[in-house]
Amino acid sequence: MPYGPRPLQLSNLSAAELHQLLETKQLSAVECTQFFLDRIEEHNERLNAFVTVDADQALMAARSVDQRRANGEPLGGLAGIPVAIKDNVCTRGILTTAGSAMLQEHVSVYDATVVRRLKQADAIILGKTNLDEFAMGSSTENPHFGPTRNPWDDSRVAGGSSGGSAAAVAGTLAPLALGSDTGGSIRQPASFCGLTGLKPTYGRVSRYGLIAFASSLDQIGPLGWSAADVALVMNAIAGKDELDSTSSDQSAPDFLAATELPTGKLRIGICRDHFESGLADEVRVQIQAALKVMKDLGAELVDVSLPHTRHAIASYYVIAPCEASSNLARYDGVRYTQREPVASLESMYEETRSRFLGDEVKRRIILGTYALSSGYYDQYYVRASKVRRLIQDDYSSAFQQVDVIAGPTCPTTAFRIGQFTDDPLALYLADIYTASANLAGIPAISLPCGMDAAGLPVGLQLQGPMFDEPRLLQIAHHFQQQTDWHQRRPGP
Amino acid sequence: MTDQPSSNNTFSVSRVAKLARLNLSDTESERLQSQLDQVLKLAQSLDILELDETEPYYGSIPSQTMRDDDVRPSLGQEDALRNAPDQAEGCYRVPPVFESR
Repeated sequence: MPYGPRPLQLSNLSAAELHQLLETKQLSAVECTQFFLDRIEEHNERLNAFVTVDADQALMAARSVDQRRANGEPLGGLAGIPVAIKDNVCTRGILTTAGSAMLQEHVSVYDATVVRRLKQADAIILGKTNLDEFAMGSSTENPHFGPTRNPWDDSRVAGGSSGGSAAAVAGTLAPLALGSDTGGSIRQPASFCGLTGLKPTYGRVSRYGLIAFASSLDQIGPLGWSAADVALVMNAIAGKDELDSTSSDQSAPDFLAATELPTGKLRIGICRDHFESGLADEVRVQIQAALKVMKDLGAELVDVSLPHTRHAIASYYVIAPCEASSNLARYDGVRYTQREPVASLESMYEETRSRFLGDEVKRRIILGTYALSSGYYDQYYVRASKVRRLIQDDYSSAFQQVDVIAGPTCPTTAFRIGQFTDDPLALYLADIYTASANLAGIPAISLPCGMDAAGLPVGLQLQGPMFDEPRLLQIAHHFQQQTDWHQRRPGP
Repeated sequence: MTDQPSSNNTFSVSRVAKLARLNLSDTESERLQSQLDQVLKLAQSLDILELDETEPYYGSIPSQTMRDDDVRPSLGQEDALRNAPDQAEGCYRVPPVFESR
């Protein structure tokens, strides 16, 4: 798909730019919302980014923003800006499916804290986006709702598990989206779709209302075109939540203000292991070019070692399925809409779960159940958790010598739909650069830094110490002032 | 209480599936068995590491706070039952534990 110069039309504007137009009344919230609803009408059938669109509610919210702005009333930081929400985040009164047949009729009875906060910021919720079932996967080839297509090349995946959210923004169906990231599910789709996507520090953003996959790894985070976009959303959603006991007491700063600050003398860590075989040449070239830009901006590149991250995938694919097997035990036909009508309780559990859960989910439940079972718990779950400690320690040591660690987000650019259907393990191995941040709890951002010969986006990942999102956003923002990858758009 | 690792990792998908309350067809079982055997091999790659001196990390964060044990507004019965496949007298209704004869 060709990309070109940027005429001033809404599809080419970032959320931060839309915000400017809305604030100065050059654009109304209704016009803005209608623009994106029309785009959805035109392109969603092909891209399959959205599972549910609530046009009526969106326009009603937009009218309210315009009315209040006309009256000179104070408005929230995202006033009038449409947002797409990944469908594993609960939205009251709106179908929330987690991409599963199990929840295909499930209407949330409450708003997730992040949704409540977006509404308080006067954002306009457009609808819910497609994902891998229960966020388990890296391609959004959903068995129940179908695959989401990459707007840059619709024969390819948008990535996963937040593929719908990424395709919604990249396809200009929404200027902003929320995703969730357990092993890379915000960053990899951001990388495949040419977006900026942030996985916050564990505990930075409330998980209340996020349909749980792996409770010690999951985080909700923003996707947008630019670091400024992501910062805008973080200002609305980050911070302590009484309803999530794992949310941190650490007070949330003004992320947007932080992006503007000078970075000072930066030490960027490069882990040589991550540039070895397995990394596509075209990706390596783009990453190295991006690192050169950083150097030209005055950063010092320092070699660091993260010796245990080579075990991150093995550790992650024990821990995540273990936690998933526990979290998904609740889907048994008792409470959440779907039930297989049979005569006994135990049959009901078995028949309901077998019928309404997809293959990948079953794989992970079975693996997790085994790794937690008597006789195997120490051998698998505890060992994987010890390796997790070592990975966390690796990062702590590295951050004594450097401010951030930079490298590729993914080993490749977006692959073809159907490419990994018979090879789930190959897909697991592609989480190699992203899963360790979840294991360690640290923040990580992916930003667009180039394209391969086929015109597919390449993502640069920056990882930082706990709660250092402001620095990550700052660096991304400065990079984006010197480059224009974040301004490229796919074709129509 | 440590449990001893079972000697021959006899990972049987159909046995574990039963534990997880999943019914698999024979074909499904076979397919999952070969896929999961590979993933298990990946997990076993951690066996070579010397981990006796390492404390596990389960993802907990330093500042976990307790709150006062006072009653606060919560979901409410009506909302809690809104997605129930079957309900009676303010409860979820389910089939009996044992099939009636």
